Amino acid sequence: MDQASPFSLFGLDLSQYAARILLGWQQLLWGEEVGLRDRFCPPVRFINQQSPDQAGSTGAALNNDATDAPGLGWLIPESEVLIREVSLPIDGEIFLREAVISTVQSHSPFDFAETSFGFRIAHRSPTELTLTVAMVLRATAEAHAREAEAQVHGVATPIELWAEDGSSAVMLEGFGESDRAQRYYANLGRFAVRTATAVAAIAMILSLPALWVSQHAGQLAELKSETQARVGSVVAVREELVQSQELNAAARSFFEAYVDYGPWLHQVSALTPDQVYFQRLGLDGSTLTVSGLAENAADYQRILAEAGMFSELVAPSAFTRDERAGRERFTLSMRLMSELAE
Amino acid sequence: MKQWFLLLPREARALLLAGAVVGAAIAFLWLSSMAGLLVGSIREASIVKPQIARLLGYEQVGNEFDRVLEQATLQLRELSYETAEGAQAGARLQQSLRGFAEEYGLVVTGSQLLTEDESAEEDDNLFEVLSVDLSLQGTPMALDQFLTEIRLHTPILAVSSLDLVRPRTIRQRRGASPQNPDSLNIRMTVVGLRELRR
Repeated sequence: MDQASPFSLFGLDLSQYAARILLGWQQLLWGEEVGLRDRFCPPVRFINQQSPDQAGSTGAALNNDATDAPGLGWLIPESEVLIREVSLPIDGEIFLREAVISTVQSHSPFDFAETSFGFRIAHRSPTELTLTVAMVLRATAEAHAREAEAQVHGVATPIELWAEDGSSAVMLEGFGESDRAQRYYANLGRFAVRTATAVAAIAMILSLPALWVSQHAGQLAELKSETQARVGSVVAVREELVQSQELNAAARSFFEAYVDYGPWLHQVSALTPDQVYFQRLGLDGSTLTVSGLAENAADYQRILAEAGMFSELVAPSAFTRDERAGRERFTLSMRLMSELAE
Repeated sequence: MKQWFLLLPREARALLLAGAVVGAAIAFLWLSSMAGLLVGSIREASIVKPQIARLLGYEQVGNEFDRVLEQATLQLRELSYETAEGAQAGARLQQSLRGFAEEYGLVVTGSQLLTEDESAEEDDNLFEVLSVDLSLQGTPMALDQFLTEIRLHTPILAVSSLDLVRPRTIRQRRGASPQNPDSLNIRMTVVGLRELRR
């Protein structure tokens, strides 16, 4: 029956990915290729394989609670162990334990409940995994465990049972493997703490310049705030001064555009001959317009031009003869030269 | 190292790679934040240091500021009417000009006050331009004295336009006072400033 996974997202079975992540973690911790297990998992010392002069050191190992002290193991001879090699596709590694149990159930000469077993990955290729499964009659395993305990009586730590497999050995499950794992994890934890402390120390050292400069900048900002508070009134005076200077400059600029007409009226009056009569004199900005009567308007225009005080001197209309006054009627327009206005 | 990595089981390799990427990302973020803190602090310090130096400089010459401000304010009073005078400044100017004209023998036939903000299109106007149109009658001598009075006036005033017209000779009615032959019709615009800000 097709049963939907509880870890499903848009039809994608997330439990497969979770299982693979878990498998990767297990491979990192326990895989021979990684090297962590060789470095941090405590070694095993087989009690029933030592020479008599090693007895003292065994006793020392027994009383040593250190997690990196060797574990005590008992090696079951090959003659009492059934070894089976199993090949598994590499993608089936997530079902490794199920495959081992299935192998034990199908190949053990004993009832499954009466079988103690263990396994190890003997070989890994890109496509295939070769397992070595060791099976022992549970009663035999317990007998060996009792014998081992008799030899090292009074020891609280459990004795590990290992099955001999040629030049190597396979640990049997249920006989001290959880204690081994705990000691391994404790070693790893200590290493992780040491590494994290070293990384934190390096990070702290590297961040010191930035922190120091930041603190210095903070002190400067504080000093600036204090100085601003203390010098606030002076700054206000300065701002008022700047504003006043701006206003002065703007006002001077405004008045510079205007001409003082008094001196110009004197100049025009001095230049004008007695026979010239003004009817109108207009000043608008720097433009002077005069109109009136003269015996010779052209002569008067020449006098003004030669005075060198005016530019753009023009007659906007023709000079006309006023028969009644007996003079020429004229209108002249000119621009005051600013440098003479001083 | 590469050989060791390639020999790892596939899942362990992927997990290790993911861990390395996460670690590298954390390291990168930390380093960039530290670098940002360092650069930001250096920049901030480089900005704040001159500001502090400037403030300390202000503190040292605080009395000098007071003195110069006083001078600048006096100069400004010579150039424009105070803000505090408000709308009365224009009326005062008009009144003063009429008084001067009459003082120097000019007859005031009309006057009008016009006010406009200087550069009215700008948002922050500094001054209001007070403009007084005057229609006068009098001799050139009286006009000259009036112009001199305007030039010496405090705050400064300027004449923006001046129009002198010789009046038509009107036949004199019997019993009327004789018309001065030197008399002119004078029309002029005098401008001054009133401060708007402060």
